[in-house]
Amino acid sequence: MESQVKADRALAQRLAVGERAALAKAYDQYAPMVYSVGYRLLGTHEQAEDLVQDVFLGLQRAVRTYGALGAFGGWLRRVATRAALMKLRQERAERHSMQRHGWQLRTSGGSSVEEDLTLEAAILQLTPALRAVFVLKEIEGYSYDDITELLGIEVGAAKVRLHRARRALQKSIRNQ
Amino acid sequence: MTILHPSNRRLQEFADGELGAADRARTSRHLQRCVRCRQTVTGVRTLGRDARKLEWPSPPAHLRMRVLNRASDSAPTILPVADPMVAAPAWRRLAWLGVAGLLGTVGVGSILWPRSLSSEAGDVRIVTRATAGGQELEVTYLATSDFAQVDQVTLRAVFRRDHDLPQDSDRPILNAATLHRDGRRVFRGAVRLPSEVVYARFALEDETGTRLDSHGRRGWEWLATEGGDPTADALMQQAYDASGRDLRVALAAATAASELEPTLLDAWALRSHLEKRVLGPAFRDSLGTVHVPRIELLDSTLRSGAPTALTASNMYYYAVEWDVPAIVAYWRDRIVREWPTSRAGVQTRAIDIFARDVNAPNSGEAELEALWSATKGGQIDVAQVGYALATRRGDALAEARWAYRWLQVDGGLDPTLLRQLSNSSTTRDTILTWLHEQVQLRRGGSETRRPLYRTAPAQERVDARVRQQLLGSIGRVLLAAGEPAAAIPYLDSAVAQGWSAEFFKDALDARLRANVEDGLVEIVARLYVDPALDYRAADSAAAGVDEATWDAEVGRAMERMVAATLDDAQPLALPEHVSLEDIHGQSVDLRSLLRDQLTVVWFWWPQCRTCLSEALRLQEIVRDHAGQPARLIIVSTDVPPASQLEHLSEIGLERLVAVDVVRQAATAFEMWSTTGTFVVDPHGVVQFRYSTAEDLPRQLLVLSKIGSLVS
Repeated sequence: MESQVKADRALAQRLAVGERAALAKAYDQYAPMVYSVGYRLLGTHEQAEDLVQDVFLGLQRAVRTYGALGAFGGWLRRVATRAALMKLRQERAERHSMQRHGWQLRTSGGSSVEEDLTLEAAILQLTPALRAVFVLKEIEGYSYDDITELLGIEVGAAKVRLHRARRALQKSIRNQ
Repeated sequence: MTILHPSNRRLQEFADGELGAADRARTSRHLQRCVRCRQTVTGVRTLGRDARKLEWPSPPAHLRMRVLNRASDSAPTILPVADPMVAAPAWRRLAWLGVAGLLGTVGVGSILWPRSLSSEAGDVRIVTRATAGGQELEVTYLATSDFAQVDQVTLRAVFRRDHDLPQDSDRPILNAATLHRDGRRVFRGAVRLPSEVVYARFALEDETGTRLDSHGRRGWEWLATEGGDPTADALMQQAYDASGRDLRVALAAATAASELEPTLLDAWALRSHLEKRVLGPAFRDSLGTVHVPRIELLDSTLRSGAPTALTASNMYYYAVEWDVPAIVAYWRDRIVREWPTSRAGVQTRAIDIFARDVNAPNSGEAELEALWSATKGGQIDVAQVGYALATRRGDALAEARWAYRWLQVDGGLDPTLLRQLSNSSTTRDTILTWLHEQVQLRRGGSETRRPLYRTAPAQERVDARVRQQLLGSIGRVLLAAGEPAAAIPYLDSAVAQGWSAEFFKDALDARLRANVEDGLVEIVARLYVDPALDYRAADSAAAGVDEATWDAEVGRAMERMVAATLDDAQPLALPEHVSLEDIHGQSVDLRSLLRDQLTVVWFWWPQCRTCLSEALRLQEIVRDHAGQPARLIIVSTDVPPASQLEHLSEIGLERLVAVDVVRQAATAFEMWSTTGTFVVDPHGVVQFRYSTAEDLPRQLLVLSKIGSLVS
C-alpha cells in the first residue's frame, strides 16, 4: 500500500514537470478508465476520445492539485468525471443557443427508443442529465453527496433523476 | 386489509442502503410479505449490478500516439479540477456557476501551488579560478526537465561592483551568456565577468524567457575571493543585492562582512539595520550592548580620519538608530556644513526648514527651491517638505508644484496628489503629459528591469498592471478636472485589467456625470459583486437592464473578480515547525493555529496603542466575508505591555493573540515590516500577503470557494 502511494506520488511529480515517459505510463495505465468514463457519460466514441485527449494534455497542470493523499487513479477518475460533466454542460449550452437560433438538432446515439435495446445502449439513450446521475451512482459508485457536488444539484433532485433513469432503463429493457 | 406500500423513493433508498435503522427495519418487514415491492427492490439492485458488469469499450490504438505527440507541441488543456458550488445564496449561486470554467482560464492548480514545492531542482556549477571581475567563469547547468526540449539556455545575470551603492539595487539584468546542450540534462558555457565586479547572481531561462530556473528566486551567486574566502566588498554587495529580496541572506552577508573587517562602518550600519528588522524589537536591549560600544569605537576612528559623505551619513544614521545623542549631534552638524547636498545633508536641512516654518507665515520656499535645484539624492525629502508647508499655508500653486515633483521622484500615483494636480490647468497639463510618458515607458523594453526570478510573460503582466494604474490616473485627473466624458476611455482601460474598486467607482462616476449608458451595467455589476463595497442594493433596475442581462453580467463580474484575485495570490509554504507563545507564555505550534480553517494572520506591533482597532475591523471582515468557518490570529511581534493586554481582554480578543518575540513566524511569513495582514488557506499555505482592508473580503470569499473546490 505504502509503495503504491510512493509510486503514485513519483508519477505525479514526473507528470508535473512534463516528463513524456511519465505521460506515456499514465496513459497506458489509466486511458481505458478515462475513456470508459467519457463514453458512459458523454455517449459517443468521438466525445470519449476528445475527453481522453483533454485529460492527458491537461494532466501536467492539473496534477498539481493531486495532494498525494489518495490513490492517483481515484483522483484521475474524479478529474475525468468533472471534465466529462463540463463537456456535457457545454454541449447543453450550445444546444440551447442553437435552438434559440432556430437550428434543428439531431440527438446523439444510433438507436431510437422504439428499438429493442441492450442495457448499454439503453444507458446511452438516456438523456444526459439522467445518464449522468445513473452512471455516477450505479457504475462509478459515487455517493449522493459527491453527485450533488459534481453536478451542482440538490440531493433530492439527484434521487429523483436516479429514479427516473432506473424506470426508463427498466422500461427499455422490458421492450427487448 | 389495506396494505400501505412504501413509496417508490423509500424503496429506492432501501435498495441503495440509504435508510436509517428504524426505516430500514420497517421497510424490511413490509418486503417480507409484499411481492410487488420486493420485485421493485430486486429490479433496482439487478439493474445496478448488471450495469456494473457491463464491459465498456477501450480507447482506439491510434489515440495514444495522437495524445503523446500533441503533449509536446500544443497548449495544455485546462482541466476542471473543481466544481461549481451549490446551495449558495442566490446572488452568489448565480455568479459562481461560471467558476468551474474560469478555474481553467486562470490555472488555479498552479496558482495555489506553493512555490517551494513547485518543481524539481536544477543546479549550477561554476568552475573557475576567477577571484575578481574581468575573469572568466565556466558554467555548467544541470537542467530541470523544463528545458528538455531546448538546445540552449540563456544565463541572465546581475553584476555589482565594489563601489555600487545600496540604493543601486535596481542594477540592470543582462543576458550574460548562452549555454549549449552537452548531454541529456547538461548545458555548458562561459561568461566573462565585467571588470570591477565583485558579486554576481545568475538564473537560467530559455530563449523566449517563458521557462525559467531561478533557483527558487535565490539565483546562483559568485563572490570575489581572497585566499579562498569572499572579500568584505563582495559580501557587502551580496547584502545590498539581497536587501530587497531576502533579509536573512542580507543579514548573514552583512554580519560576515562586519566580522571580516570590524572597522567597516558600512557593514556595521547595515547589520544593525537588518538585525532590527529580522530579529525584532525584543532584541533591542541585547543588540544595544553590541552596537553602542561599536558606534563609539567607529565614531572615534572616523573623526580622526577623512570620511566621505556616504561614510559620514552611515555614521549619522547608525548613531540615530541607537540613539547616541552626542554622536548624532556631532555628525549632523558636520554633514550640514561639509556635505550639504548629500542625501543626509538635504534630508536634515529639509527637516530643519519644516521644523522652523511649520507654524510660521513666511515659508522657507526660496531655501527649498535652492535645495531642490542643488540636489538629486535628497529630492523626495525636499518635495515632501515643500508640499507639506505649501498645504499648511494654503498656497495652491506651490502645493501643486511640489505635488508634481513628489510624484516625479517617487513614481507613485497617490490619488490625493493627483486630485491636487488637477485643480490647476497648468499642473494638470503637466501631469497628464508626464503620465502619458510613463505609459509609453512601460510599453515593451522592460528586459533590463525584469528581475532574475520573473519570466517574460510575468513581466508583461506587471507592466500591464502599472500601465493600468497610469491610465486610470489619467482618467482620474480628467474626472477631477470636470471632463468625465474624456476620462471614461482611460478609466475603462484601467478597469479592463486587474480588480480595483476605486477605479470602478470612478468609472461609474464618470458615466453618471457624462450621462453615458454604454458599459454602465458592467461597472455596476462589478461594484455589486465586490464584497468589500456596499453596492448590494444594486439590481437590474439600477443597471437599467432586464433580469436576464443583469444575471449574466453579474456572473461575468464574479468570474472576473475570481480571476483577478487569484492573479494576486503568492503561495508560500510555511515550515513544518514554527513556535509561538500564547499570552501566558505557553508554547504553541503555528501549524496548530492554522489547521483546517481559512485564517487571517495579522502581525501586530504592540507598541502601537491605536492599532488594536484594526484587529476589530479585521475580525469583522473575517466574520462577514469568509463564507465558511474562518478565524483571525493576532501575532504580536513583541511581548504586549500590561495595558495592551487589558485592552485586548476588554474587547474580547485576548484569546486570539500569539506572541512571536523571536520572529520565527514573521520570518516564515517573510514579514519584514512592523505590521501586515496575511491570508492562509486551510492547508496552511499563505496565499495572500500584505492584504488591505479593501482586498481582504474578496480574497476570503474567493479562497473559501476555491479551497472547497480544489480536491
